[in-house]
Amino acid sequence: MKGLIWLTWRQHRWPIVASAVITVIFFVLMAITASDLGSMAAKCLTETADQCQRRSTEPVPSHAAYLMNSLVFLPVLVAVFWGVPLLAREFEQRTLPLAWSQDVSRLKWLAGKTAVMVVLIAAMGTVLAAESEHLAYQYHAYTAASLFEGTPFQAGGWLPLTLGLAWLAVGIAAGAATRRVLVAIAVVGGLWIVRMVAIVKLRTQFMTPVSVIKPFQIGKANRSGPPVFTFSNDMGINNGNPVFLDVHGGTHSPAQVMDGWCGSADDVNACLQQHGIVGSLVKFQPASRMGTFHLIENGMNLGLFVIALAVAWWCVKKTRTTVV
Amino acid sequence: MSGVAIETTGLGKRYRSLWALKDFSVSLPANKVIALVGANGAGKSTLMSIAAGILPASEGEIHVDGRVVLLSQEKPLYRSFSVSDMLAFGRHLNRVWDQQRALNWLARFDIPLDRPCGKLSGGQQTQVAMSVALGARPSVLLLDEPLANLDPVARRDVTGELLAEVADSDMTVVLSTHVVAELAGVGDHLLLLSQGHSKLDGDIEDLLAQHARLIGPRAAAPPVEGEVVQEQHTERQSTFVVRTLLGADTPVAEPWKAQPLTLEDLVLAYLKPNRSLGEEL
Repeated sequence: MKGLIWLTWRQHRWPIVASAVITVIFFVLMAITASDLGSMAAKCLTETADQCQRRSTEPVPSHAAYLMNSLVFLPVLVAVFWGVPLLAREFEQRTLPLAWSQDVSRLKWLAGKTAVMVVLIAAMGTVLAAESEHLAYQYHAYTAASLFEGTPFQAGGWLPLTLGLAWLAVGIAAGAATRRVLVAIAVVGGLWIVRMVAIVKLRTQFMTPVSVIKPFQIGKANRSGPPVFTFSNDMGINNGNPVFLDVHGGTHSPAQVMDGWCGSADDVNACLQQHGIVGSLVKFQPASRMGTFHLIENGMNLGLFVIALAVAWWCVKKTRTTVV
Repeated sequence: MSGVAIETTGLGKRYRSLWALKDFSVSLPANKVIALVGANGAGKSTLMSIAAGILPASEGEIHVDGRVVLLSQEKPLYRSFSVSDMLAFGRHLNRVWDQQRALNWLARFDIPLDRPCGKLSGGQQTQVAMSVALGARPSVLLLDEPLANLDPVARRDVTGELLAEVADSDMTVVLSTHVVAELAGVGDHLLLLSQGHSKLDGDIEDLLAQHARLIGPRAAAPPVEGEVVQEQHTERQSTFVVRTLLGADTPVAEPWKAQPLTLEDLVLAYLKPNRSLGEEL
């Protein structure tokens, strides 16, 4: 194993060094930003609502969102710069017969080098995932943005760690299957886009959403339009837009009600009453499920990790390094 | 297995419908230089890869005595590694490693240790690959057409040094080639492959002593008993390559003449009987 540690370091030292530097930079920036957000949140507790706007567009929260968004994309870089070259570069440079004709078998070679990379990515991922969760909580504390939605959700619950491991394995598998660096990178890019689109749609369906009927208290609220229902740290379904409910139990989309029937009405409440709208049906995933959702997504990532490594193992096992 | 480096019994390797080796049974002696000869596609690389353990056989058995190292014809090296790094690679990935032996080989050919392999000439890269192979202290060193990109002088130097290594150790070298001219004065034992089968196998001196070229007036058969390996006829003359007990010492009646064969002649007679001598296979 010592030999494979040396070999992995010698062959991949620049990506390893660059990743370590990026990890330190990200950690420091996230720690400073989280500290600033914490101070701002604490200060807000002593200020009035007018003094403390809690806007996510302010420089510090914007910076935090930028850092968390960047962190979410690091796993694809892990796939491209760590995973893909592990096998694809060896195939391209035809060095596998050399590596596999020493006293280390090809499967031990794959297992050893992969293990070194997994340990390194796990170490860096643990550092970043811990600090990104801290940052997400401070971001939530200041902006009141839900931890169960969007970037704060992806930055928390150790998702950056498991996502990094999964995409390391995807990169290795893509390199093993395609045997070409550029082709493997294209495959990784395509899979990443598919994953991003799919997970946004899948995430809200991990568990059956909770539905709540909220009756309008027409005449009691001195405002135009329906009241806005907010659930701190809940995950809203349909981007948080409630469905309108009429007296017969029928549902109507916000576009039909607010843009169609009552879009140009002077008195929205009267308009809603006129059309029999008595309340709204709100669907959401309650904050209490956030840990479960993180577990599900971490499980998916680790499942992808195992499947991708199995694909790489199978490809290596089937590889012929000789000519007739 | 004493005295035997590699022994195969009914060995076969199939790539889809193509048999690269079929029903292949040989016994190759230890501490010798074995010349493995055959045309491209004869099954030389397949046999070596199976012997090295990097390719599973489809059928049959193979036993190799001791540690095996294969140096393939592409002589792959990590281009970004320096020569020293390549030696470190060999040291880290082999249970047995002789650093001094590897360094000695490089010193013989004046290979700079600090230069990246990608910046070495083709011949220098061959020497680095050879040093890594020798440093692993193999009992059996399989060289799969390793000298192809060397000029004749360098080729002779390398084979000379290899013979010295064999003489100084208990190593067996299997030297695969399809360039018959490479074999002169190198091999102790000949294994000739054709289309996945063994066509000729034995001690080179014994084989040469058992074969003769018979030249005489045009005739349908040679004037002596024996296996006709090759026959060529012109309008007035016939030439036979014959395997007999006495070879070129076989008494023949005038006007027939019996001549000894060179190793190159012998190989070509078995592999390409209709080609002119000296031609590459």
